Amino acid sequence: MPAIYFVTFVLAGCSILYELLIAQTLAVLAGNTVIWYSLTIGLYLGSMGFGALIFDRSKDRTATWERLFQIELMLSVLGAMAPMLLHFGRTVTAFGVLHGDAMLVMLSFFPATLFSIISVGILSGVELPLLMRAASERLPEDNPANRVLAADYLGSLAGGLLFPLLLVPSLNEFSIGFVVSAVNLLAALVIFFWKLRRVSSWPFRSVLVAGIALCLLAGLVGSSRIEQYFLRRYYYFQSYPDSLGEMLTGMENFPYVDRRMSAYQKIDFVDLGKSDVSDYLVDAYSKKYKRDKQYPKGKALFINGDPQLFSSFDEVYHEYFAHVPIIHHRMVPEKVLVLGAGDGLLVKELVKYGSVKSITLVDIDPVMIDMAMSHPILSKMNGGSLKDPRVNVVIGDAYQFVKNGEEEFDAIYLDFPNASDYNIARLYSREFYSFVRRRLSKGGYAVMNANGIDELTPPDEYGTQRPLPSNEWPTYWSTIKAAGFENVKPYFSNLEPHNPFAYSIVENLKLVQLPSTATFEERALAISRFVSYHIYTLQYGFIMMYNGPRDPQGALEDPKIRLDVLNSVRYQLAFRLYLPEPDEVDPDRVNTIMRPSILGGPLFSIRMPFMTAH
Amino acid sequence: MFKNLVLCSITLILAFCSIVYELLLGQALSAFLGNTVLRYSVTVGLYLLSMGIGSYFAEGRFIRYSALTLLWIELFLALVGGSSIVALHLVHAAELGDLSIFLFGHMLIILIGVLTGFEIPLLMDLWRRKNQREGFTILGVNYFGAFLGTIAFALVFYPTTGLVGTAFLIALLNAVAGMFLVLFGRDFRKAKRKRFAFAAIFQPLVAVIFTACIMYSRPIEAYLQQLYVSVGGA
Repeated sequence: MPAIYFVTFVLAGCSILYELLIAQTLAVLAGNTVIWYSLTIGLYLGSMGFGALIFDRSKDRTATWERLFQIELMLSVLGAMAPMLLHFGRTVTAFGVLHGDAMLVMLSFFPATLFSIISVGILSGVELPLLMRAASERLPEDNPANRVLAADYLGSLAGGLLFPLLLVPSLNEFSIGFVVSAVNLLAALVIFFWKLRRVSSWPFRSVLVAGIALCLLAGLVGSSRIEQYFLRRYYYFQSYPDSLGEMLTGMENFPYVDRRMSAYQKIDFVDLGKSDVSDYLVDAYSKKYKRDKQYPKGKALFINGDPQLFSSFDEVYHEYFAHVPIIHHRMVPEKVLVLGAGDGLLVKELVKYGSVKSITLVDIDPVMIDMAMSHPILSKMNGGSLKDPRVNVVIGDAYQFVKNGEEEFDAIYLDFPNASDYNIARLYSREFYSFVRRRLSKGGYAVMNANGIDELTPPDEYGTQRPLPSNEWPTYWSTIKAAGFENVKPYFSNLEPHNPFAYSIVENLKLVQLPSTATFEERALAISRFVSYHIYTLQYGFIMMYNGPRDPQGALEDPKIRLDVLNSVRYQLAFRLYLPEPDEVDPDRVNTIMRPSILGGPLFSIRMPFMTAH
Repeated sequence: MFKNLVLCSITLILAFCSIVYELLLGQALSAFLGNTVLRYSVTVGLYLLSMGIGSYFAEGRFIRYSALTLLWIELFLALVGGSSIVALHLVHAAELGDLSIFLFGHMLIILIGVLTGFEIPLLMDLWRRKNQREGFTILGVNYFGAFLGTIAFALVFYPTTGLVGTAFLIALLNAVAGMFLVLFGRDFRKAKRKRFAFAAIFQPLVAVIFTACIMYSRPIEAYLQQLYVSVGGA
């Protein structure tokens, strides 16, 4: 087996690894994973084709090895730079968004991305015919072009498997870039010693190769510092300096971002400090900090850069999610199934009931479960709920779990990330809801966190809100109805805007600036607007699905549990918002695994930590 | 010149069809078996590998009758690719366990990959005969077709026509593109012409079958969905 096939194999692996790396970085920075992966792989193949085409057109047939050497060097430098280039582009974009500079937004991130993908692609596209030619120069009688092609494809397979299975869970994107780049550099070195030793310009080349090697080594050693720099740039982007020139200054003054990686997601713990207005106001609505002074403040959990949990007001989401269906159904379920929600906060609400006999939690990510059990902040937030003897943790795919079992449950809680790509959209599909319905015992209910039905106008003076055109309620309704549920009932974590404590907090902290000449009515109106806008940011949407009577009757015995936010008034408020039910199921709106109709989020947008927080 | 253009278009469409078949299978398998990330990597990787295997074996006597071999491959690809999603659903409905779906799905992926890999050297050969060049243009156009396929699948086909409808549509496209290979029939010796004509009859037939399937794709989809939901678990 001549060495040329092995070289082809390794180089093809390097090229696909660069592209997957760019795709991964892009998906984390911009969302829409499947679409960005497809676009990157597609653009890569396209520009490889372009490379092969220009190679076929070129007349120059000399110095095959010479050109291969140059291409390896270029690929090495480009591949090492690509992740940093993308992150830097994102940073500049965030700066542009913050300063309302549309030119900066347009001209930073996506051009940097396209440049990286296409240049790596074209270089790989020229590389392959060069290798074919090099092989036929060595072994002209064997017609080795097809074998080179085969080695190339084999290398792509190896790279495609290595990336998700080994590299992503263990290394950050910058070090992956440096490692792969080092392999390319090694290839250049081999070509250099093997074929080009006697070329006259060898001293210059040795210095060049040594220089690149030193840079790679330095990058590899400092990769966690690079990662930390860009993470801080991401999460603390509101503290950017006023000019673009100051952006390269260090971020050492900001708190450390604690990043954990798994095969499925990147989990970040961020210390935001007590900065957001909602953090002050939440004291008026929640008893949490009065009861427990030690409860973490200003901490936030992000998954792949999307907000999951803010320690200052997490109980608003979880109490409405867990308890409203129980009160509505007038029954405390004995057997509960929780899908997703590996952070353990939803389970914390459910274990409060003494009459709950068993809780099965299914989450796909073992790293998340591990964090929920042992992370100092997260385990304090969930009160060690996953260690409760009634809780049974299953690590696995929620879809497969409900599809492939027969055990029935009295209540099923669905807590999944936003359906922003096709992988997750199947957890919102008609098929999935059909399986959920089959796993419910008689009189049982399922309840889901429904991102997208909370797309509502901000409340006006009378507290009225209307659905925006982007509201996903008709899609959810059609899908759940098509799955065979009789009742689909939405509710929201509504808080009352007319709260005297909230008014006094706003007054005392002077959160609303008014001229001293303002009359009493003007002040009252301004403060009430301020408060109602900020509780609007805490408004999450949920959907209950169940069979039987729409409003179940019966007597719920007081379970005597302690709640921080929910009370009888707020329970009534949860159902106050009216979303009209369509007349019949619209088949084009039904989200199925064969034809997804949910895909939240615009395509060409960049993820920002807080702009999607609602 | 005209024939070059036709050859390039055929290459483009064939590459487009193959990658869409593979993505359809990857998506369907992840629906049946779960673990999407792994499924995608394995699908794309296996596709590339089996393409490599296909192009490795496309030597010798096949090269002598490139257009004829190609015609048969196109026919086969359209049939296998177009019926793949329906077949996968039927295997699922037979309740032979996850392993059967796994094996059947990956067999289809490898089969389509090998056939696609087989095409490329043949197309390169047709090009070489016309132009006295190395044929890397075909390689380039092939990659470009794959590029269009991935983008069209993610942005257009999957959310609009869905898995079932897309499979039929792509099979139709494949069969129609295959028909244009008849243009290259003149390259053959007289004795081969009959076999060539025999193969050429089947292409329109396949095209008609898949046109009918497209017209009834919504009812077929609804039926398969019912089948899928009724089988899982209990």
